Amino acid sequence: MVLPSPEFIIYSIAYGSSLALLCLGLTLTYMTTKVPNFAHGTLAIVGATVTLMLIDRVYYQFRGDPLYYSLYIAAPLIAFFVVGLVALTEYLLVLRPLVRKGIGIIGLMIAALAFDIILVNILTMTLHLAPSEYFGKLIGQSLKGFDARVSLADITTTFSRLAMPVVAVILTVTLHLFLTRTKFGIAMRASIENPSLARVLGIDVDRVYIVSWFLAGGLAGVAGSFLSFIIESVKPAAGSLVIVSIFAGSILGGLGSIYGALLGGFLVGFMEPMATIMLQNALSEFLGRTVIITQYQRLFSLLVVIVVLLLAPQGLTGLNYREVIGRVRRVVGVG
Amino acid sequence: MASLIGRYLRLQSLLIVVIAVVAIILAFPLLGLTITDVFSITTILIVVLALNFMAGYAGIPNFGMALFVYIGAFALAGVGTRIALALVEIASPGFIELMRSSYPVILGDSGSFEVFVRVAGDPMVNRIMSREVESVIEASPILSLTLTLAVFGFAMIAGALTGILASLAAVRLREDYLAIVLLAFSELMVSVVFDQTDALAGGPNGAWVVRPWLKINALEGLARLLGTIPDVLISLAVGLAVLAVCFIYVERIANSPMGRMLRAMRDDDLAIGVYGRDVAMTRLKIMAIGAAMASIAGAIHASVYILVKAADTYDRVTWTFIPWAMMILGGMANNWGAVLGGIAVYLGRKAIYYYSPTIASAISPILGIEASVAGDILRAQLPNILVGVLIILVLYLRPQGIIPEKPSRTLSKKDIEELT
Amino acid sequence: MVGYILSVSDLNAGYGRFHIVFDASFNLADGEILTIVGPNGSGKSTLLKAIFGIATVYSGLVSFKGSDVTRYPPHVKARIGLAYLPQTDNVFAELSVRENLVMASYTLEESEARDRIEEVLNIYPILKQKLDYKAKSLSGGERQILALAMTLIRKPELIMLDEPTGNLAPIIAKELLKKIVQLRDELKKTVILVEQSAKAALEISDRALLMVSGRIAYEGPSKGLLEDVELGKKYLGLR
Repeated sequence: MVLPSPEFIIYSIAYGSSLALLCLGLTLTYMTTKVPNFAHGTLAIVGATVTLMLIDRVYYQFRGDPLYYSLYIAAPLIAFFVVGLVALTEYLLVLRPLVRKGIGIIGLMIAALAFDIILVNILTMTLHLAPSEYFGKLIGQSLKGFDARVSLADITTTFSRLAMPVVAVILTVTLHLFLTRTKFGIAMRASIENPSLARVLGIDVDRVYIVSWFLAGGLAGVAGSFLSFIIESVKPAAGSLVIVSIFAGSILGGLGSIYGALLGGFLVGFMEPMATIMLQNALSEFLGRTVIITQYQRLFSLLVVIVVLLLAPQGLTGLNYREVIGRVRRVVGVG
Repeated sequence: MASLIGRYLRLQSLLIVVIAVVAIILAFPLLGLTITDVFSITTILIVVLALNFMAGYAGIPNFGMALFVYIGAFALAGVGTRIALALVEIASPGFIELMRSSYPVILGDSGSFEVFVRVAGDPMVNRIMSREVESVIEASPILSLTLTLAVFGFAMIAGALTGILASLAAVRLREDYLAIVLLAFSELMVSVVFDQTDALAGGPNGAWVVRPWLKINALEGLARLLGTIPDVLISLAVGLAVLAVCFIYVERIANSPMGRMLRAMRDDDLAIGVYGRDVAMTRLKIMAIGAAMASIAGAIHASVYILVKAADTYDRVTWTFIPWAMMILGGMANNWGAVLGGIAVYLGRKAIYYYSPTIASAISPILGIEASVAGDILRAQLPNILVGVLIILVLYLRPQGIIPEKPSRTLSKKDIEELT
Repeated sequence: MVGYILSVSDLNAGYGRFHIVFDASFNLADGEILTIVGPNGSGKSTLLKAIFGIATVYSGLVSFKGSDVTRYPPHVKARIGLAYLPQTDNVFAELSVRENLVMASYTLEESEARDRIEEVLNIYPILKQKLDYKAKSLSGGERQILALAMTLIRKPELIMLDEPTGNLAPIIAKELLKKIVQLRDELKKTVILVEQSAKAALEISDRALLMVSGRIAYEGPSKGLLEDVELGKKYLGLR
């Protein structure tokens, strides 16, 4: 079996890192509110859109200027706050009032989906209407050409692909320190595990939920900001496919642990392009002609969702290997 | 007492539906509604009823309706076209050969198998041959009937199987997992598998359909009067018949012991743990029946279209989200409510669509954009935003919908016996 | 009413439509241990939860140190000196012992919190060695001690414990009961105990309350209940 090129591996690592952040956010909100946030994929696209609009403003002025590279800090940072606020809006304006009214899980899920549809359409509207200085029109633009090229030995890649994993690691370590070293971080973990006990102890559980939603949105914004350089074009509807990979990574991670989410997200994001390209190479070799299957890449995520739910619904973190083997036997029909 | 309330509620809901129907007829010229709108309402109402069956009564959060509807469209556009070609070839052997000689440039060196692939897969071949095949089908009552049965039979079976397949992984798990799996499965099947594979039904180019209907000249006059064509009238008639059958079926199930079991399963969190296996089997059954209904609606819907595309025509907003909005507005687990909600949402969207040029020309100077751009946005994005807002508001202000779920009669009687 | 730290009169309580406790009345003096016993489903735990404000109170009065606290929500009751320790989920399993103690002192000033944590660690030195262990890795007895320590951090005057020895081995249960005696004797706390394994608990308590089908069937010194052959045989499995 031939390994994909180093460039492709770098790309896969970058994609895996961004998905890890997305799964982390989804899992965080799931653990607090107990609702799978169907709008989480679109939150990433909001981050990508923020980046697109920023580049539209500054590219013309700063092209070639070293100052241009400060964009790699400014764009994710702005996306963090903008998308954090969007996610907070979803929680405060849509989900929390419904939770307090005692609406059941199905109602909450359709409300999250409703928010997603509203968000997608507002994004579409914005991309159509917002004045564009550089592109002329914002809708459907690709940012692939706006990423700085980086050459290392004989490997040529782009800056965002190298930065994404580093940023993901920094954010993860920061979050870990926040959750284990600060009183509020510990209170977050406590509220997630046992909200009623936390309330009795005087912890403001609702504030914890608010921070969780803001953080989840913020991380989606950062991921989306980097993804904007990787995806073919920035289009609002893309979130409806990204969400499948996010669910795949989160379910693989068990939907109950942020570390599981990071691992699951990275694995799904890294393996999705890698497995596809390797299968494509193998098929082409086997059939003796070029076969293209990359358009089916996302099916990998669906496969992960199905296999994990069938064999180990608790995901990686809740894995009991003996039980998994038993299930495999039952599903396969052996023994 | 309870049955009296029940009867009163039924009477009241019947009255509301009658008023709604009258309102549509009155709104016809006002909103520029045509027979096509009546047809669209009919097909979407079947989908809403199927959804109400799955989500309203059985508590299955089906966020993947679009796929099941598309399966029906695929039964017509992808499978039906090929069955039609086979039927025509059997009825008049040499048809494919004739096509080959008629269209040497595009079909010249294709083998018979390849012709069958290309008749629904290749846009050129599909476009030419579907018309030719249709002209043979529409002239023969036997071929027309055979094709109709084959297409709808396939739609039903394929829909049911897809319903089972889509939910299999999460059928034993909580509702949220079920919702995730159904959404993921539907999204990827429609916009990746079907939309990216030309050989299935034209991929992103879509496929022309072969209408299975017989050409009935007697309908010409009526069709012209209603401003449409005979084929649409037949589709509408079939649609109305299927709608009626589905309505009666779901209503009967809902009032049967099975219906009470479904509601108990839906309302009791413990049920999944205690009756795990039974719940899983029941859910699969419900998924099969509901998906088959949605699939038949999809086949009927596709039959008036010239060209159907997977991701473009059967997007999740139109075929998953809007039916949910209709059901929630009307009232979950209430079929009259579903019908009423369906009509209301459809008309609301239509009204926005109808008045958008007027509104656009009014607001465009204020926003400083061109009237045509404003009009496009009002038509394309505003209705979706409003439906999203509507869902959230209904959930908040009136979660039971316009017509609430009927109280279960047996339970009330038991309650009364306990009290007296 | 003066002289009693807690007095309950004509309390009717339950969950939603399920009426479980009927017309319960009793008084408890400062510095005593009261054990509530009774068969399964007799309403012992519900009585406790009603006093703390977790179960629904339909009618009746709960007064704490002479003032009516019937309708106070749980977190307010926690602030004025009542503490309630649920039978299960009374510690954060995924948090370390130290983090659990930090959470128990969440609302306190940092320096005060540190002092109080130090204090309870001195009362329960066993926790000192396990500060960085996750609570889920503790044994059942240690976990109850941690829960007790978390309760003590808030300096309550009345501590209500719902079957603290429920899932413990007899020998460990005995150890825990010693700790409860310590609460009374050394720390001068008032304690209400709901117990299933009646005998051991009754032996350490001052007063007893027997509940049968939601009603109080005996109220008085615990010795009295231990010596009442008929009640003991019928409801407590005593010989």
